[in-house]
Amino acid sequence: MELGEDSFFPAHELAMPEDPASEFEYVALPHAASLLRYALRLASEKGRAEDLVQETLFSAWRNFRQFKPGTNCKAWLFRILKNLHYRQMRRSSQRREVHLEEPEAGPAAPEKVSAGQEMKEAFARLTSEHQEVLHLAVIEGFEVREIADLLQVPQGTVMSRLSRARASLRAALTGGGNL
Amino acid sequence: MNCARVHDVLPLYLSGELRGEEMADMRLHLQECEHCAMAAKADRELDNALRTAMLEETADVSAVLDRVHQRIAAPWWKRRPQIIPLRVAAVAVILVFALIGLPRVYVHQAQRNMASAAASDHYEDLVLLRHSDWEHKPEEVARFIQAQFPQRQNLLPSITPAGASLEKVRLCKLRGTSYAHFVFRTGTVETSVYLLANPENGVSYPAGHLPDGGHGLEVAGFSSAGMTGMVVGQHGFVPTVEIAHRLSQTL
Repeated sequence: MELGEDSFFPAHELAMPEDPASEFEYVALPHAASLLRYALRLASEKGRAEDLVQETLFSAWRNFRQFKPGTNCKAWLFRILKNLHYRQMRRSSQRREVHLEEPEAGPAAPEKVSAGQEMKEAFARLTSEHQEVLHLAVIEGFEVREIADLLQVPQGTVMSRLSRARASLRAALTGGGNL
Repeated sequence: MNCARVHDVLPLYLSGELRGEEMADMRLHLQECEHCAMAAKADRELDNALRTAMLEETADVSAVLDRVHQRIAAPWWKRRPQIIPLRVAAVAVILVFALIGLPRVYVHQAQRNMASAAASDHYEDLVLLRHSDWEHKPEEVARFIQAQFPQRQNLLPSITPAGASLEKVRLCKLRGTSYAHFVFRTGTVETSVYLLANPENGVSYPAGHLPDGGHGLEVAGFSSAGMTGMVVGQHGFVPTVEIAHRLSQTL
């Protein structure tokens, strides 16, 4: 699927559900938690992430006729969120790398120590590129082709990036530094 | 399938995207190659541990969902306006101005031009005395009214300002449109009434007032169901607005 720079939405065929309101409730809104997780990774603070998810869902609602039933709604929503985020980034000229210097500022770093704390800390030491590809593949369960579509890179790039990300995570868990 | 190929497609295997013959080859290789089987198992366990850790705390989306529901349920005029690109906004403003604003300005300007023309005509007729084709006698005036306003036999009493009397009438052209120019006199004060029977589907102007039509004259325009016209007189001496309002009610 091609996604123009100015287009928020994948070029699905037009197919209006019989009852858009209930269809939207059933198909799109269950992905809100996943969207917020991803938004927290992209945005620098919880408030901005929530605003981003809200704008994503409202944009999806207004353009729900562009969603083709039977296709992956979650991937469609993620693409909208990603494009909205890029647009906001362009407006504010804020670079995402800034977030990586302060990973503890994100809500992904809980205050209390949990069983997965070591894993979270290791994950936080990965590059943003590796974090993102692992997040999409492992945590959100997207297929390689869907990640390639979302990130606008070839599938081969996603596969090699995933392999390197796993290796880096493993190294971080065994005591490596920033990877 | 060799070990290098397994290494390449391992991400597809872990995401469940391998299909058909390639999936069968992969399974066969993993059964036979302990090294690759260990690598696949290690990656799968790493993924599971990462997933468990990252999903340990579920993000609370209830606040976001509440806001989304409110926005979806709100009438469109209460929804928070979206940020419109400047180019789109500029085009919209131009279109609105072209479709609504410009005709209004044009009508307003046309009315103003006609009022100025009436004031100039009044000045030329009554001060410069440029025309001599006036009808003065009652029978001539009656014939004039019969010719110009055949449906309005009793026009004169209804257009005569209070305390004034008709002095003369002639047909004049104001910016290409023929008007009947009635001149009334109250002592030394002259009042001009320009009348035009409304043509079918013609343009009628809303009431308007031009305080300074030039030469110290003011003009008030009016429009009724059947007539359109203007009242011209010396500023401060002739209640043009009052007369025009009365004519709009009586004609």
